[in-house]
Amino acid sequence: MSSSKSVVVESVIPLSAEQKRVLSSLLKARVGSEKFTEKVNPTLLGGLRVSIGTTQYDMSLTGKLSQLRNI
Amino acid sequence: MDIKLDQILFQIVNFGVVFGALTYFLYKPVVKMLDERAKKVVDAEKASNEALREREEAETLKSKTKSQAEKEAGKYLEKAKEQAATYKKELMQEAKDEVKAERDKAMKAWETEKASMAREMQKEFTLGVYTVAEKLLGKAVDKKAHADLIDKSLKELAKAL
Repeated sequence: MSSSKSVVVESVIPLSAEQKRVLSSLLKARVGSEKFTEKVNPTLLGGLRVSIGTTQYDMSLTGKLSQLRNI
Repeated sequence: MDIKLDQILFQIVNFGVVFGALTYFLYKPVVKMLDERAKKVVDAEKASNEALREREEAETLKSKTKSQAEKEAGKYLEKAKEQAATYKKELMQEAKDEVKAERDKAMKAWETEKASMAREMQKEFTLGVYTVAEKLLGKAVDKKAHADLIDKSLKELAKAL
């Protein structure tokens, strides 16, 4: 995987130090870079939304509720 | 008695001549006339019988023809009745088929409408649930819960990558 992709992490509250560490390790192993940009986004309601390049991984409560709405 | 032979002979001859003249000029024509009249009577009777026979034959033929015509007319009437009954049956079946087709069409339209309404209602319900959940979650999730949710999300991300 390319290490040039930018990673943006959105959460409702700022990540704890432990959570940042876990995330960094994960990104380094899978994406090739441990750097990421943190954003606080209360509209998520809970959980995380991670954008790696153009790919988005939505594990937030808002995302789950949207899936429910689209059934 | 004074019998004169020549007078007797003369009388006999005279009588013969008169008899012969009468026979020739009177008797034969009269007999002939009578024969002719008798023949005419017989011919007339024959003609009359013939005419009677012909009349009887004509009467028989007339009644035969009439009876045949009545039979034919009866047959045609029966046939016409049968055709009318068949036509009536066909018309009724046609009408029944039309009614059934219309009913099926209406049922189909109703089923489609019902399915559409059900889908609409489900959408509305889901939207309602979503809106309520959104409002509830916005108020109920505390800091610890958020932290747990983030941990859970990190695990999901590890599986996804």
